[in-house]
Amino acid sequence: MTIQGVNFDFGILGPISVLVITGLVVLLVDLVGRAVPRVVLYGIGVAGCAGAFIALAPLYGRSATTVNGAFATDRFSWGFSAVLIFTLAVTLLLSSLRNADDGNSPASYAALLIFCTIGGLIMAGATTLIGIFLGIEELSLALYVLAGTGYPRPASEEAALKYVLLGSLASGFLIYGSALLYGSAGSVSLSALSAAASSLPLLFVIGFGLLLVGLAFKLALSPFHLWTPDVYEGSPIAITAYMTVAVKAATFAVLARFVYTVFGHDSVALVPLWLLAIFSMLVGSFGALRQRNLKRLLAYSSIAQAGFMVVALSGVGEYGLSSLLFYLVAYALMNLGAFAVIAMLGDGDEAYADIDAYRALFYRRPWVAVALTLFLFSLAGIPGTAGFYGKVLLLEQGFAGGPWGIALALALIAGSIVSIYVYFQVVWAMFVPQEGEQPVTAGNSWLTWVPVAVGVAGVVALGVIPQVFVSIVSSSM
Amino acid sequence: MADFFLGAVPLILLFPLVGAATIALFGPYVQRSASAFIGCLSIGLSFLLTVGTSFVIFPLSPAQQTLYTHSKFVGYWAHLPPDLIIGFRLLIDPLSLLWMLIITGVGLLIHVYSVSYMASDKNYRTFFAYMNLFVFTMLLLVMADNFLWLLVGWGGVGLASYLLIGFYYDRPVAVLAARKALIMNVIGDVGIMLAMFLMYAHVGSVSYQNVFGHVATIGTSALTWIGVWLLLGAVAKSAQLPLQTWLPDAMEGPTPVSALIHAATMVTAGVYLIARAHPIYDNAPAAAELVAVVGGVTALFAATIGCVQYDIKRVLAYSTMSQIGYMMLAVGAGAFAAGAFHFMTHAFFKALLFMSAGIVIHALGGEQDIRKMGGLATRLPFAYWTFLVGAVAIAGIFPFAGFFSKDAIIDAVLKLHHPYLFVFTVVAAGLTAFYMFRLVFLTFLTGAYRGDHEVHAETERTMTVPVAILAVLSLIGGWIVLPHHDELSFLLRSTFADAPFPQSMADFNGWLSFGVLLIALAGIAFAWVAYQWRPQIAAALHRSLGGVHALLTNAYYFDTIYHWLFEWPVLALAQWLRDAFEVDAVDALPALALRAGAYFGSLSNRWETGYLRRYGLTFVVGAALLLFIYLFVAHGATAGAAP
Repeated sequence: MTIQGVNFDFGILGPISVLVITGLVVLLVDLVGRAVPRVVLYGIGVAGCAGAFIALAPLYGRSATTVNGAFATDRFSWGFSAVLIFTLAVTLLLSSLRNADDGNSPASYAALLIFCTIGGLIMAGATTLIGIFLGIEELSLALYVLAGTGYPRPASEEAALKYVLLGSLASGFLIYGSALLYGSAGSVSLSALSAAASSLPLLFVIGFGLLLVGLAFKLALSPFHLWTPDVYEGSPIAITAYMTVAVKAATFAVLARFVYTVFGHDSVALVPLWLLAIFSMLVGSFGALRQRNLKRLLAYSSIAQAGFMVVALSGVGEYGLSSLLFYLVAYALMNLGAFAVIAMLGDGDEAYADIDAYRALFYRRPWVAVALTLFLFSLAGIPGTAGFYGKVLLLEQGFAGGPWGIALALALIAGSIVSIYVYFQVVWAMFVPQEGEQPVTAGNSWLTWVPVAVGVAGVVALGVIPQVFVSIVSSSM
Repeated sequence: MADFFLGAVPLILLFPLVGAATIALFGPYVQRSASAFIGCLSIGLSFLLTVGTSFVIFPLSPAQQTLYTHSKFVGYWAHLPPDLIIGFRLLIDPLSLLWMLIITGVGLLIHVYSVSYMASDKNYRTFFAYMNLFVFTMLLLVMADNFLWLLVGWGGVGLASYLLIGFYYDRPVAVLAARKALIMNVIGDVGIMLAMFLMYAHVGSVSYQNVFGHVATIGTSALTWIGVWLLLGAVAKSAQLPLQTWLPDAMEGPTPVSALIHAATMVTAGVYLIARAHPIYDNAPAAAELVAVVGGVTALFAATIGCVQYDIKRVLAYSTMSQIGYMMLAVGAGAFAAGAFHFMTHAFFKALLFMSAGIVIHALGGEQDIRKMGGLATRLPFAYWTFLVGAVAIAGIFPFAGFFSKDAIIDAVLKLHHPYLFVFTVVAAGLTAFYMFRLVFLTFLTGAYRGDHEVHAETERTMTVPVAILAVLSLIGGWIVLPHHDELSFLLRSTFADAPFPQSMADFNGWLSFGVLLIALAGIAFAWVAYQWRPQIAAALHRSLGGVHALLTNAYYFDTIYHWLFEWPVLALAQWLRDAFEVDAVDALPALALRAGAYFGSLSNRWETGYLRRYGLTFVVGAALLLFIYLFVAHGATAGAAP
């Protein structure tokens, strides 16, 4: 279908269209109905996710563009889009818990979450600087508000304010960098940029550097990570879970597209990215060591994990993208699983953010403790779990990726060693028996058991028969 | 029907695993007898499927007899780019089928036997879970189609063996024996890993097909090293010199465990490995020669020790070691079918001997010292007659199974020109007959009962029926290979088609067989003279050959030598390190690492003040640094490189 000279292929734009309609339906139902229970609203959202998946399925393995070449479905977008939609569904489930924060306005909360994901999908598919910037802004603006839905909890307001102020700063870098890139290449499309990348004119280098700062902020790569612990700690649990996975998935789609289409193998322009990654792995792992708040701990862990994922790109190799995607899927399963356990125990509130609440959990809620242990083992990279095989794939890319790849791989190993202590102190707390009166943990909603069960099954399956999933991931490209 | 059995092959492997997991997870919630039932049922189902598969595979033409099960999803388990591909397929061919038949068949009999043998044990359920786990890992070992999964099974049987030797974990001796077995087996595991590294370096793969397809291009020296490292694994698992000392100690485990793991199946894994890897040894004669020498020397070595032991199970353990020596000698010399044949018959009569001995031990309330037995033939007639069948079979008396299989090996050794080893085997054959009948006379005959335990009658049907079945098999099991009619090497022909020597055992050397039979009879006669007719002869021999007797009783002092050569220095070093080094370095390092980690952590946390101005400043400074790097590294490099 062509409107004013712009062609639209609603097959390729299918998942986005489904989600747009879902978001509007949620708002309309709330407007028309009286005091619609939020489970209904979020249920519509989850149904929309299922619809988006159905729309995404036929695009598997396809490579095509639409909107006059500005939006694509290809190896950079499919897997990342699937992770984004999955994360949205899990977040909606976690948000439906009894005590979950949603700013007393469930319809706008759900709609914002859905529009936020649409921003992520645009980032994954955009092939021009303008499209990328639009996607990032849509994602970010929605998240600024969502971070503050814990109102009137002061921490949540603080999180929203910090996020919006620093986020605007990052957006400034992003738009300035994009402008310079456009100036040096004379085009906003990434394929045109790759011509300029071969000779690296000064304008291009500065432009990419500024753009990289903006992306690094989104990925929470150190030293642009300082907002992360405060924002992750202050935001409602479901939103924190969403931020750790969805923002990473969308931004990595952009970064991978840049690395693979604009730069070739061994480009010096990527050296700062490697440095940021190495720095992040160390800062994230060490920073998590002394955290007593599980959300803050997982915030630092996500800084390190973002660094780990960069290792997949280090060689710009044939299997780099599939390794990145495999690790991202593993990360989505284990991280969302861990957050689902936190949310489950407190029925959505913050009671189980503190590590002390997990003391002797195994003797009160054995299955929950075992599930959380499995997720933490996977995050630490213990064999038999998804995280282990994911790290194997990352290291494989690193060691094949020249000197910088080897440096990244070594940092990955160092970061993993430190992070074992980080994750195991939680496991330790859960399994050491405790004398005296035990607090009762009632939270047991099936809404959280679904993501926990999916996470457990996925983490084990990806760890035990990895090649089945590597094949699925590779064939999507 | 054929399609059904071929499709069900993965289930053979799966049933014991499911059985073990079911008993482990749900055992505490069900009756004790239910655990035993699940344990027997899973092995029984595997056995039925194995038999069905055999009827499908064996009649096929040689070219069709090798079957790989294909995964539904992908052809391999893991693919690490660029070129490490690890497959997971099951390999069904006549060789693995023979082993699977024995593992599941004899395994089933021993599981049934255990139902009443272990009935009074407090860890009854655990026992069946471990036994099923063992059968699973052993099947994995023989069904793997590459060395990696073989090693997984190899390590798995080591684990199961460790758990079962130490099954009576409240006895310190049993725990020490389990530890010793594990350590020695791990030495072997390392050997197989080194062999795999070499294969990967030279072929880029560890699958049987690829490695065996490239033996001609690897080069003799590398191939010899692969063979030697594989032999190290085989020697450890099969209790051959010089890693043999764990097997006698392993008799601390329950008797069914000794029968299944430390006689019939696991300890023959070394023989399987050499037979499976025969293309390597065919092209590395030096390594093959080493296998033969190790086997031949162990056969004689262990037989001599068996002559003086007083623990009924230890005698059987040394005889196992000696018989596996025969098998190793056969496969080392190139007579693979003869080795597999002896594996089969040995599984029958050695399991029989252990289980008959188990009836005796059970009846005497745990007594194992043959000096405290005697005259039991009238009180335990079933155990006596079945044990006698086993003893006759292992001694190699016509027409029992051992006669045919041992003769096939001795015949092959002579034919393949190993004159010294031939002499070893003949002497060992005489000694075998002697020590087995020494055992028979001291346990069941020779005067009155000397022990102080009350003798309970043998009644349980679940114990006697499996023993009776094995007794029959010990009689007729050898008839599969008769003069001019060798069924077994015909069945195995596709596996050993490319072996350099003819595998058929149909060509009997009548005079040789007769001679060996006479030597065995002489051994029995000597045992009768020394222990039944004139016991003072044995006493006189003890007195006049005291030094030799002490040497043999202490198994050539191998344990003592290893203690002073390896254990003592390591422990002394450890003690010294503990006293001198641990406090200053070992304890200090983690503390230092902890402090350093905490310091770095606090550094990164203290930067996290919560003040936006600090965050913004860091952000901008970081961006400036990044651009600085760009201008000096990225742009500088290209500008400098530009002409």
